[in-house]
Amino acid sequence: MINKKIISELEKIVGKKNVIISKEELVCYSYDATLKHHMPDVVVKPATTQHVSKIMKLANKHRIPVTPRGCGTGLSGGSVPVKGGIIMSLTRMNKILEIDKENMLAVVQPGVINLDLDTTVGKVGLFYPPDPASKNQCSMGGNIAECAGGLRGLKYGVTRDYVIALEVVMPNGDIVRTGARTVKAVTGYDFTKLFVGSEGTLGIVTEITVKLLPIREHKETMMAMFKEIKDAGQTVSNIIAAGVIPSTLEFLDNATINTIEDFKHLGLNRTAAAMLLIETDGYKEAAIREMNEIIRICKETGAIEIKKANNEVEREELWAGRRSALAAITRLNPSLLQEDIVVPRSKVAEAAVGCEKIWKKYGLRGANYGHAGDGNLHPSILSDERNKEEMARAKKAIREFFELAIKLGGTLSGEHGIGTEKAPFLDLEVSPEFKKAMMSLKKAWDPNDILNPGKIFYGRRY
Amino acid sequence: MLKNLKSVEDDIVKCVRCGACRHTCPTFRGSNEETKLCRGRIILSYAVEKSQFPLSKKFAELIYLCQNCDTCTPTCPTGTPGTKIILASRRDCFELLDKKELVKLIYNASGDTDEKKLWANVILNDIPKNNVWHTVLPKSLEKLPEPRFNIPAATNPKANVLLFIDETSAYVYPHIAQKAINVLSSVDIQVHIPKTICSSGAFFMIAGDFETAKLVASKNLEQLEGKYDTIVTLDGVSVWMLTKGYKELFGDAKFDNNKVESIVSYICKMGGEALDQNKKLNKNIVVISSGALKNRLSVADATASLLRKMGATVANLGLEDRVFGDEFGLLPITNWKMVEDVVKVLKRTIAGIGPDMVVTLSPQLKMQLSKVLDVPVKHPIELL
Repeated sequence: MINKKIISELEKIVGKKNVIISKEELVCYSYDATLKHHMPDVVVKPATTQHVSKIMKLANKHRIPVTPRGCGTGLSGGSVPVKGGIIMSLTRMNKILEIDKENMLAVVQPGVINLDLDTTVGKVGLFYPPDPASKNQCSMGGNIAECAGGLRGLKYGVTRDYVIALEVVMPNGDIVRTGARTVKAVTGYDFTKLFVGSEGTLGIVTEITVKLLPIREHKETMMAMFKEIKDAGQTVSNIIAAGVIPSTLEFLDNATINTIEDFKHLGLNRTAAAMLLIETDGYKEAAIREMNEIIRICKETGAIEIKKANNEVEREELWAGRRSALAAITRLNPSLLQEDIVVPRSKVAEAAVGCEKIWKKYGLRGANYGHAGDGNLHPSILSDERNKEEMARAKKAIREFFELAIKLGGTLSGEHGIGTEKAPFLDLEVSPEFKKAMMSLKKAWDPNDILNPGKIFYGRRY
Repeated sequence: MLKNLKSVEDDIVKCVRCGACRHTCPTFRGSNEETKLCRGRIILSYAVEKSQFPLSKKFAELIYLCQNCDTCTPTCPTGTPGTKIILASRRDCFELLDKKELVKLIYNASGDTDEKKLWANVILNDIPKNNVWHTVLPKSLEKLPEPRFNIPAATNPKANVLLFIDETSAYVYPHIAQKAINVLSSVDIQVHIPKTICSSGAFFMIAGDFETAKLVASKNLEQLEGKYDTIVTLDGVSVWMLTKGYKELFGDAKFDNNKVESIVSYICKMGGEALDQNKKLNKNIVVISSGALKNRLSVADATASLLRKMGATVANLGLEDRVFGDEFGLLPITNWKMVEDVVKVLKRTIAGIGPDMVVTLSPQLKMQLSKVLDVPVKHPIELL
């Protein structure tokens, strides 16, 4: 499909050194943070919107699949080129174009790292709220494609809530601008929100305008341990019902607590069924008052241990456990299958108990943690991809995680996207009519199905 | 059969491809290219180990771009030992590819610099004439004069120390080695040096040529066996090589490698006795380590601690900034263009701090950074 002539055309667009064809180099672009991988035929690294447009025109003319790629840190296979063709690596487009303090917004290219944006706007007293766990190494383009979330989602929302305008190259190479730099905008359809979370299947984002918030004056942090998962779940419900919105409300189950303790020796209570890590922020008086209310609720719901940070060092100590969760559980087994289910907040406890039952039923090792305040859990199966029999059991368990989430009125993914990994389960949640509507939109904009093909809709069922 | 890569397969599969190493890997930070990132190299090694495609010259080219600084290992949330995997890849390259072609690739990857010629001349001193490195590296250079050091006899020595002088300190910066001898002698320590100055062999080991590394290192074994209280090195890499490296090459070492420590750690342990109390170092200093291997970071910490004792203000940089990945300070074996990219990031960091000088315990790093930085680059011994 890709011959020397096409390679030469690509080289004319972006320069020879920005076109990769050796298999040894291509393999470095064949994966993301899932176990999925597939070799592209060529990697192209554009530096401008015009480059992207020309590449798309060429690809569309010759029906070549194009998979956009940011930093390859995704957790759903979104940037894996499952149909081969072109990987369009957007890491050269990594400039922060503008910071508008007065209007509290920033304009960035897709290759900008989330942390770099947050650090830069921090210098003028602002912050960019979406903070995925990979914020040190994930790109804004990838954040847009997957609608990344993070720890602050409960109070501050997700990527979609901050993107107000985009420049997008369509599959046919057309360059469109959506949204506006204003607080309000209802001129035409809201394509901005449509592109966010579209997993690079509808267009390639080349410029992003996000709104920002002023840095909060003060933070209060506490940790509470519970004997039963249901007590932790009740605590989450009661906090929300009391009208208190913490900036983070994280959940860790007994398996996660124990693996962290094995690895970090933080003195966590190994017998606790669940741990909540809670933070409030805002004006000092307000954050303290909210935290006092949360502590009162935790006591009421039977917390067996409550620890509040009295200074920055203690705050760091409390966070050390949560931050090392992924590290701790992945050190147990080499292959991590991490899911991203969301349930209504009131069902978090039921979902957590259900997930544990599922992995035990299949004789697997699992752990669960997540953003309890959002109802977003990351049940994880610890496995070894080289053990085929165990992987088959793991896949069955994962299917049951999804069935459980849907049964509880939830959804397949909160912040990782469908990609290839959840595509086989799409029909569990999405009606044939809605799927048809989505596919007809995709077909209208990308009739040759060249842009990130094989994602979202095309999962093989198992 | 890629036996070395096979032996680290359990380490390779620990990598969950999360990309956390993007934040610290100096070659990636300099280039922004996935092929120059620890994660990319691990995936590439795995693909070759699993016979997705054969071991090739191109594979070697990419694997030899790693600077072996090991910032990836402490950064990695799953503890994947990036450097260990790269070393296994390089060892397989040396065992299975044409050695001469490989040495040519390593040597020719960079520009034609004076440092490179000097380095070639120094390392050729330590290896037999029929060795593959002799067949590739230029022979036309003049033989360097044997370094000579003046070692005072202590009248009532309170300790016997063997000062292990690495090849760069011996041939390029003999004044640093002599100063170290003088400082230790001034506090009644009897200094000894090896009869024959010979590199530790670290370079060859890191290059994956274990055969030559063993040849070179074996020359040091007997010399290290004496009844010394401590074996003190002038650089951090030698600490690693004389302990872990020699253990890997020879099994249980024939000398007590618990006795090995760097000169800065040794002076710190002495409680600053060797420091001139009247001399105050009123300088703003950035300490740079040549790598993040545990012992090298502790060497950098000891350097910072020593400089603070001397009254200097020392910049406490993060892992990603305090380490300059440089293949144990041997720029010549890496791609010159890429090193320039790496240096650009380092220069930005240093400019942001605006120090009076940069201090490193690595003589090789001093040699190279002196060429590219706008501030003086010193070995801590020079400041005593």
